[in-house]
Amino acid sequence: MSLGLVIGLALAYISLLFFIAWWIDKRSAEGKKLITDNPYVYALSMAVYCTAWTFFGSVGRAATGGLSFLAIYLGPTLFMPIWYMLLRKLVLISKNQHITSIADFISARYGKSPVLAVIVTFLAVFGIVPYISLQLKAITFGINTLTHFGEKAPAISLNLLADSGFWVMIAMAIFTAVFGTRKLDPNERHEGMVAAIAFESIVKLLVFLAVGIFVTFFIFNGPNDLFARALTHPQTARLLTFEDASVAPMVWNMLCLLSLLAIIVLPRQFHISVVENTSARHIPRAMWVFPLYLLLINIFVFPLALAGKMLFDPAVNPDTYVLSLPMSQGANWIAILVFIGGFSAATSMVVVEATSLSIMFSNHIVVPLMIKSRMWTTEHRLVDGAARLLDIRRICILVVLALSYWYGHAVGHNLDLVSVGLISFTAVAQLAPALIGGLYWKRPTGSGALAGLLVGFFVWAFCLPLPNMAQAGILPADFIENGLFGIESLKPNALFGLEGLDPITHAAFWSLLLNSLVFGVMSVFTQPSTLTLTQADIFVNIHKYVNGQEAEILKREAKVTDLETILNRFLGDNRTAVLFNEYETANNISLRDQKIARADFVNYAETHLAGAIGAASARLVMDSVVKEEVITLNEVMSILQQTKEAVDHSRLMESKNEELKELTRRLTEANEQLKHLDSLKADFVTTVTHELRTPVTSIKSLSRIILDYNDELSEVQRSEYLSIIAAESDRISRLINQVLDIGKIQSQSDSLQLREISLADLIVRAVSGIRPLCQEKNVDLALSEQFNWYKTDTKSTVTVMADADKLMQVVINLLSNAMKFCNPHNGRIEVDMRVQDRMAYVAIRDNGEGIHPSRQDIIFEKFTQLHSREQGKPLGTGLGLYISRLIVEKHAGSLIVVSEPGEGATFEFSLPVC
Amino acid sequence: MSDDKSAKLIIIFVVAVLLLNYPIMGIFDKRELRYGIPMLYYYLFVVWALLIVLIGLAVQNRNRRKIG
Amino acid sequence: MNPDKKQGRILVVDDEPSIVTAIEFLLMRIGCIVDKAYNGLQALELAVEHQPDVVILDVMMPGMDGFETSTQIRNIAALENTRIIFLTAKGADRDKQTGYAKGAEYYMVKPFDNDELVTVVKEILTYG
Repeated sequence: MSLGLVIGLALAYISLLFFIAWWIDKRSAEGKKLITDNPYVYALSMAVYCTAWTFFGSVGRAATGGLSFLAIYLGPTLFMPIWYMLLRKLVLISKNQHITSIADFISARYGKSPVLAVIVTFLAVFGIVPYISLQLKAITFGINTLTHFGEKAPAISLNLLADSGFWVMIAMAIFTAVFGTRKLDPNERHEGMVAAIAFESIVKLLVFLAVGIFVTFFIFNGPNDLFARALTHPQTARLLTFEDASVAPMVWNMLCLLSLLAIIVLPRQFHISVVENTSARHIPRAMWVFPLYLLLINIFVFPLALAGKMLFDPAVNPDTYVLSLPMSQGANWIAILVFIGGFSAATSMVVVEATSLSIMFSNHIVVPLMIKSRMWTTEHRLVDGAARLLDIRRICILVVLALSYWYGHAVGHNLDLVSVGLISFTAVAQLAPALIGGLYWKRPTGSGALAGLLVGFFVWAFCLPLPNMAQAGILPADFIENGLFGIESLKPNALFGLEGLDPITHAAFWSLLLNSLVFGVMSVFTQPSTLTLTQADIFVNIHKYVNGQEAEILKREAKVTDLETILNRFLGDNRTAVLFNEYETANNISLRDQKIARADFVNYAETHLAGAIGAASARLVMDSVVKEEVITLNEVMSILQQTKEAVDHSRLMESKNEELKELTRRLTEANEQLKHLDSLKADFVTTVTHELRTPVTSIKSLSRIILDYNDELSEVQRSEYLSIIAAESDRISRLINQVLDIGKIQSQSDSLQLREISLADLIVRAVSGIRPLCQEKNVDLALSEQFNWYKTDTKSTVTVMADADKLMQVVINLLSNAMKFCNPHNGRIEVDMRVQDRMAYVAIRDNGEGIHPSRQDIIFEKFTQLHSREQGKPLGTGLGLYISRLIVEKHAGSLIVVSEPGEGATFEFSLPVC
Repeated sequence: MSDDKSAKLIIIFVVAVLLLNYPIMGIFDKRELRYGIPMLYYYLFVVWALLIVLIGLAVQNRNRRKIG
Repeated sequence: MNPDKKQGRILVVDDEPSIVTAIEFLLMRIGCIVDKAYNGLQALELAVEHQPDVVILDVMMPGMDGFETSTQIRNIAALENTRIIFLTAKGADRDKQTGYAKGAEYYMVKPFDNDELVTVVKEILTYG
């Protein structure tokens, strides 16, 4: 058969998949009912479990190990009743938390731990890459069998471009990149991809049944004939029982266990059955349709293996039987169908696995690194975050596939299909204790999960891949025979002296045992973090949360605008707008009218963000804008009590930081504005920034002290420092407001809202506003007789053209200055008013220290402050009098001070009377 | 999920584990044909099919109300 | 003895009490004795009285400014071993040059970094 024909068929088949995926995606975009929202499609897509290994490798294994291959498919079936309960829980939790992968799930359960996410991701990559490479290899191998039937298989080509496997890898990478990362969906669903996978499941099943029927009924005369001959044939008779095929009970059980765990923890199974699940309602039907599928696809495996054994020379590789049997009968079209079926099995596995791994890799490794390196914050204006995330995903897919391709060439070519698959199963099975334990038991901690995973992973690596590598000559093989460091009990095939098991069973036994033990013991002896506790409660009691009781544990708040900025950055503007709309419609509120978002919107935002970048990263990002409020859940409260002090403290710091951030923002704003005001001199800007630096310095230094040396601080010190921080923050905001005022007054001369107003009225209002403060400080505030008189006698009412608000600012400023500087023991302020030569004069007199003549001009300058001898530096910005004088002058009046040291001071302003 | 359903599912699981394990599996581990089919092969597939039926019965809500 | 602890007498001069408070804490926790002054004159009095190892000096202060204070300190023979660090909001190069010309050991710009300040003081105390 010509190579061109085979490659052409493969490409045609991939194009068909493209078409299906594209069509379904188009329908989905048009809002039509999804074909994937269907229990049968769901169950069929689960059949991604059956890979090229099922297709070619099962027959191969049956030809050597008899019926033991069935454990890989019976295990999941037998587990279905338990899986049903487990899967419902997984799906509910994942929908609730917007989980995107198994790494995300485990990390989310253990306090959204970034470290765990990274470890799980690496474990998955280590475990799965060989498995993917196996699929690529199976395709190449299929092509070679088809094109070189009856000849010696060609050596693996060293020329990359001439290697069909290379092109297969590229085609798959393109398909995956297009349909596995089509859009950034918060639920990480890919309808087109799922539909294509379901289609492939049908193809592989039909093809396998076809070849089975062909061999059983056309080469042989039905099953009875085939089995009767097998019973007497010397090559096959021993395969009919476990005993004769020397399948130990332990091996059978371990294979069942590994495969039932694989159905939960294999990244592609998790992705299809949990992440891509459209509705929990589909689960019940899938629970019997999926095992039925497994039964059907396996029904002819054993007959095929027996047939191959009987018809072919023992030298023929049993993995090729499915292809060689029809070819030996000249039924080339069936062989081609078989190739398409195997190709189908391989592509579906590779596509889903690569999608899932790329989600993990980008969410848990690349994005956190980018957040840490602040790439998002510095460039977010220039780059569309969503598009960028998708690009990262695509690169990750390519990396994963290239890695697999490389592995296949460098390491994998001396292993058979089934053993590579089982090594992968054993690797990912290490995730099971942390995953399942965390679903039903609240106690496990992040450290427990981490320790268990690491121990399991190392035992696995030591017992399986390392000896293989040693046999391939990459590592010194010495440790296989003599144990690690020459220690007898550290032999990778007989750990702690346990002999007589095959390598897979042996490794699975020790790694899972030690993993679970360490996980359990560490969990009991370590303390969970607060977040782990709250997450544990959600995960274990998910039904309670789904039913809407106590939907939130931590009450968190954040500014709506902050949340919007973050969502824009990671999800893109459109998606953010849609999310806001959805939320507003669902809750019948307008978010833009609310400054502060309530807890449920914060959670809403975080879970959607988690859909894009994973729970741990989302948490990291949200922490920057969110402040946590009261914790309500009673159960958690009792445990929280111990850490409450720390929490309280950090909350206070958080809110301070929040304030600081806001101040910085306004500072920049003010600075910008200053720069653009041509009328302001450069040195003024310098002075302002200098004046701003001072409070910023104390805030920065003291808040760092509180953060860094919290343990060393006494309660008194801490509250002293915090109140300084608060006071200095106030100072900055006052300063900024006043600088902005000056800017306004100086730049827009016509901005005064001039109206005819009664001066007496205004002063009386100002005085009554400040009177309570005076009473508090025991200062006597007296209005002169004239005020009553002006008020009652309408003829002599003093009317001025003025901006009431601005003028009020002047009077209040003068009054509060007087209050600040009057005699601290028996303070008295007098307010007087007179009219002379069409000018109205208002005088405000205090009985303080007075102002030395040499200082009387300086006080009207910017940023000058008087220091009273006793009180040190008064709290003020040094801009009040400057602004007051500016305002009065804008009204064509003047502001002066009359004072003798020791005699108090009188500030008097004048305004033209109408 | 009702306790009743959970109980059914757990019983099915336990039965399945027992049936697909030694010593019961050993009874059928003989080099003989039953109805022209190898005994172990026959046994495994029959148990398998039976399991699927049982699971289907347990998880599908047969007396649910039809909507629409 | 804890290698992080540095015996030494430091005079902190700044017209902002809050900044003095912060620096005082930072230096006391590494074992220094801290004197505080809020203007140039007060600083000179305390410097003469206690002969500190290091003076941390603000520049923009009412009355006698930091540069002037520094010049005065340099003129006092008893204080010839006293080192001066300027800690100021004036960050222009020209100001820095003035600072070093006035005999400063180090010139830091506000807002400062706690760790940097502590490190500089320790270095000076260790190596003079």
